[in-house]
Amino acid sequence: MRQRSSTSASAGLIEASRAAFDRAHHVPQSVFTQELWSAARRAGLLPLVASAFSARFQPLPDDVQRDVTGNAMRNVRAISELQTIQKLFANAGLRWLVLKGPVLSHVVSRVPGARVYGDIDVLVHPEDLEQCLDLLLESRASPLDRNWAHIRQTQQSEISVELERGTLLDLHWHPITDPRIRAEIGIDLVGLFRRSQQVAFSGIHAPTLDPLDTVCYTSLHAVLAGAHQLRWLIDVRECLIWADAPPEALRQRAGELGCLLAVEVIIGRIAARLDPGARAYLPRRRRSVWAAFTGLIDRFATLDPGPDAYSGRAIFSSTRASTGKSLIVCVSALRRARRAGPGRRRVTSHVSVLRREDGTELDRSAWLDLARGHLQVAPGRTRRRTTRQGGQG
Amino acid sequence: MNTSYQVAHDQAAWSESGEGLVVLDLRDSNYLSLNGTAAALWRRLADGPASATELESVLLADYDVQADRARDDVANFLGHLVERGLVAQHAAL
Repeated sequence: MRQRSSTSASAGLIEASRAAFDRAHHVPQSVFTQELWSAARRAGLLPLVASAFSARFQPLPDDVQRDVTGNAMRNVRAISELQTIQKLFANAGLRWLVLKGPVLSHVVSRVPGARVYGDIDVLVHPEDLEQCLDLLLESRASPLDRNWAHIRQTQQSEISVELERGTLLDLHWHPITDPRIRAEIGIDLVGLFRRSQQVAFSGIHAPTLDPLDTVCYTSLHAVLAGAHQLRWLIDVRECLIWADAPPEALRQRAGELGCLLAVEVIIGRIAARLDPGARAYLPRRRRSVWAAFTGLIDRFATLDPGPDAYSGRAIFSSTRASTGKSLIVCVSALRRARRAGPGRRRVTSHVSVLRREDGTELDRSAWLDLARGHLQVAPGRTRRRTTRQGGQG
Repeated sequence: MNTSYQVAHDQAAWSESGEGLVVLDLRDSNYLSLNGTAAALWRRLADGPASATELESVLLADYDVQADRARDDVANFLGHLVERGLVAQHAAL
């Protein structure tokens, strides 16, 4: 009964999401049950579902209106912090790009502001990382990750700081934080910065990835996170529409970035669950074995962010640059999950470790050197160096 | 002489919220919720300076409203937001 109820809410979410983007799409008011609103909150889709509702059956229920406004307040707070960052980094001539939330919500989505976020993700050029970090800390931001020994040891590519108004900023020097995956995918950072573009929203002009890189990065992020949340499928679908690029161009760029398989996997899931039109971006012939395999898994894997749902997340997140490597990672992940047993969840968060102050200036310097060194020897690629001219300026 | 108005970009941040907007006053961290018509006027002023007459034409074009009512709505909107310092007014020839 619970499974059926969950399936019904999931189908309702997909219907309501379609209606949010397409005013002509018929959706009866009976779809908007209390269960649907709860599912929308859990899935991070409340503002989107609310926009579908309010365009047809105003007014919104009071509790929904309150939460939608609360979401907009979090967004506007993040935007105000982004304004500060923009001025700070631009005045210092630093190379940076805003990623994910603000761009997806206010630039990419056809329903601006309806995507839930609250944190800011920024990619900084590895050579400018130290200066970015110092500037932030001088401007009343507080360091959250202070365990330099752990940060150095894990070789993660991001660090969190809390901005003046309380927004969390994840400062990345590489889009992939796990060093093993970073080595396997081999993204060309210099190319990302060279192709970057300015976008304008809510009075801000900020640099971000170019449209094809945005599709690839959003796809990669969704797949590595498990591809089990409807909002990530919506993100990638909106990116595809925004980029409006020929499928061949997307495949070429995804191939250059080492994430062709991830793009194929997520688009396969979008085509099966959300928008059959996305099939235009899939190869007509010779679909990869891994993408075909995840296509089969898709039928059984729920789109549910809950920890108890069978979402196939361990399988989707095993996607790497090739079918062979993905299978190896997948077998290993499933073995680990089996050993852990159904009642014991893996610890996936190192937040408490990161927040504990530890390590020395030497650890911090070694981490900054790791970031800078990544540019000199890009994984699996020819030796390349970066120049100031290569940045977005 | 005509008066033009513009969003005070240094004083405000804003985000879409359904048909409306939520504006954050950066000086005192107070939030302001704008309904659909006020949001339409705000968006116009965020794009660049506009006179009251130009703002009235935004309402007349997008909403089923009489000219008198549009004039009153624009006057109320400007009066409120200029007083709060979120919209700046400039004398223009």
